[in-house]
Amino acid sequence: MKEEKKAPAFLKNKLVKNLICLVLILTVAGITGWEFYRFRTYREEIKAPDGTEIQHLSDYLPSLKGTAGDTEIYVFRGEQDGGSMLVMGGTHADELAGHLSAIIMVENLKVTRGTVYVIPRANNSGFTNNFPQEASPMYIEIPTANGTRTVVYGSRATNPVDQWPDPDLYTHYPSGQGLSGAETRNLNRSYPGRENGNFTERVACAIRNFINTNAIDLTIDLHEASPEYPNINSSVLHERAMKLSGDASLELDDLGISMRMEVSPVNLHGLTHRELGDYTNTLALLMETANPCQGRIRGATNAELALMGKDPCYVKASELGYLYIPYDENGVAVEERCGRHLQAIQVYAEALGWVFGDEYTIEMTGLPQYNDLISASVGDWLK
Amino acid sequence: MLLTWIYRGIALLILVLTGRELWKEEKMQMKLCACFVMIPLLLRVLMIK
Amino acid sequence: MKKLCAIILAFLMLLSLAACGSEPAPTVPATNPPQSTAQPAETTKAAQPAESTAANVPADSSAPESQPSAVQALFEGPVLVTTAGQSADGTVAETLLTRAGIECEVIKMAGPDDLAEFKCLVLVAGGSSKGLGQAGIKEEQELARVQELIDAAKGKNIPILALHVGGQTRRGTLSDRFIPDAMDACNAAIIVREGDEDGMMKDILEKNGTPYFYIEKQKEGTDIIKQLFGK
Repeated sequence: MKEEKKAPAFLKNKLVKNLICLVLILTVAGITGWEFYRFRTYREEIKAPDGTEIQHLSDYLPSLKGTAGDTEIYVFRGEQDGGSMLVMGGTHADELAGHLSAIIMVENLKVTRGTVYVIPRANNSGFTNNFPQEASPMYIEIPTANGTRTVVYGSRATNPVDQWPDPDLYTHYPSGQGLSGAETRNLNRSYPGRENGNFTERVACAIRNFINTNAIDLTIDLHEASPEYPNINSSVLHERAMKLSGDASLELDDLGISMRMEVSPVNLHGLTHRELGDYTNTLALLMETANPCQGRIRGATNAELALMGKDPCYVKASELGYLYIPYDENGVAVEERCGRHLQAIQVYAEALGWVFGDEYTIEMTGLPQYNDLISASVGDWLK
Repeated sequence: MLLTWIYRGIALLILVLTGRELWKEEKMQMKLCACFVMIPLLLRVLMIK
Repeated sequence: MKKLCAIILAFLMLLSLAACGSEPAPTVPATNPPQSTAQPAETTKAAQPAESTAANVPADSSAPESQPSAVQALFEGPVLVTTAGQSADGTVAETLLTRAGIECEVIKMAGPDDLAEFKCLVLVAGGSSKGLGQAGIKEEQELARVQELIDAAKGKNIPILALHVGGQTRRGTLSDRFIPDAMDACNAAIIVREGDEDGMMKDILEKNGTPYFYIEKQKEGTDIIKQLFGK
């Protein structure tokens, strides 16, 4: 007969067992709670030049003041009048190149004609959490000449702390389109938004108000998507913005950047390229680059993958023909992704003046070209 | 604000009930199960908005 | 044994947590997912001169490689531009034509009645699920529309210029449905070389003896268009 294993004597004491459990609970809750709290309150540094005009979204919807929905709008005004452009990064806080491109703009941009507005963290609440069960990195460290810069890698969606619970079905206002309940916290499904809507709808409303108040001519929303997603290395344009696509496509193609142009479907609601085009006078477009860190095929998920874009699983997937971009062992580095975004922004800004006339001209300097970035590091463009 | 306190109250109630079960339970394995339930509940009581 | 199985199952569950999770929704709603099947491949190409190869185009063999071969003027304006597949490349075509000084109009859902005022039809081949969704039509309807337009153009002796300027990104299951009809019916074609690496369009054009021009970059299309229109 097997001898019964006997537990250590101290563990027979009920009080001891309960104390062990209490210590375990407090330790784990303490560590994880501290991580959650730190991430929720952490603000990365964005080094705008001294004297840069900074507005806030709450200037355009006061109910956002003091909430995680409020975010900075950096304004660059040229000495000469001209066209105006808004560039938004961070609509989805896990799309690193969009966010980083906007930061590079804030820290390097000089405008001589027209006005450029940059929002690096469009859904600021998304930067206070990670999407559950994605094992996403939280902080991305980038070496620069002035030390290490930390950039936040957040979530695609508003923090549930700011908006909870999700409905089973999200009914888009005002179209009535039905979407998955989780999309209720996706800023890019919430446009045009409403003043008395949920948290994310109010952020969308503030952005719409901002565009209308400032009569912004061109709005560019920066995004990324997984390499197995069909709509990447592309621009999706509202039909009124399609006038820009011909010239922009030719210029980008001439620079060696293939950018597929797509028109925004009229029955796809909530997105910038549809709703901002319909509910404001801006020419709205959205740009996508490829980010393996978001894909389903990826292996280890970490800061290195977000920065270098190298993943052997994706190499295999490319060999099997599952991807919509060319992909090899060199990966898709953030330099290439930011380079595409920043080059395209400059081309679209130029096209605005070519297509619509002199009074819409925007003249900018200081930004890296595509070739500047792919031959260097993003850190070279961070102050 | 009221809703935040209601959510915290609900989480606290479940936390207390689970804690009571943890206290009464004899087996260590079952106590540890209760711990895993109580950790996120405690975080919700402290942090949920 | 039971404990061993339980431990193994627990580990498997732990590993599966690394893979599972809510799927970030694409920019297409799940209830109506237009399937874009655009093929990958944007690559930086060194600029090379456009080359023309065809049976009935008088190629100037003594022309230096950096100069496009002289071509016969086959078309005149004004031009009706429409896509075969509802892609956004129609605006690229419009820009090329405008830069070449050719009067043109883009009509996305052009039909036989629209041909009345035009002397040339430009078909821009390549499919887009977003474009089809925007137009509210399915692939079969678009194919039928294009065929009807081709038949009407032929009936009215209106020559057809086919363009494929989207490169590799405008190839794939969807786009490849729309390309053959345009290439088969045209009187000349301009193709970004990268989009015809498999020679699909070249085979159709050479079978018909139709002149075609490979270009490395979209911009080079302007010069070819000027020559095709006798500018």
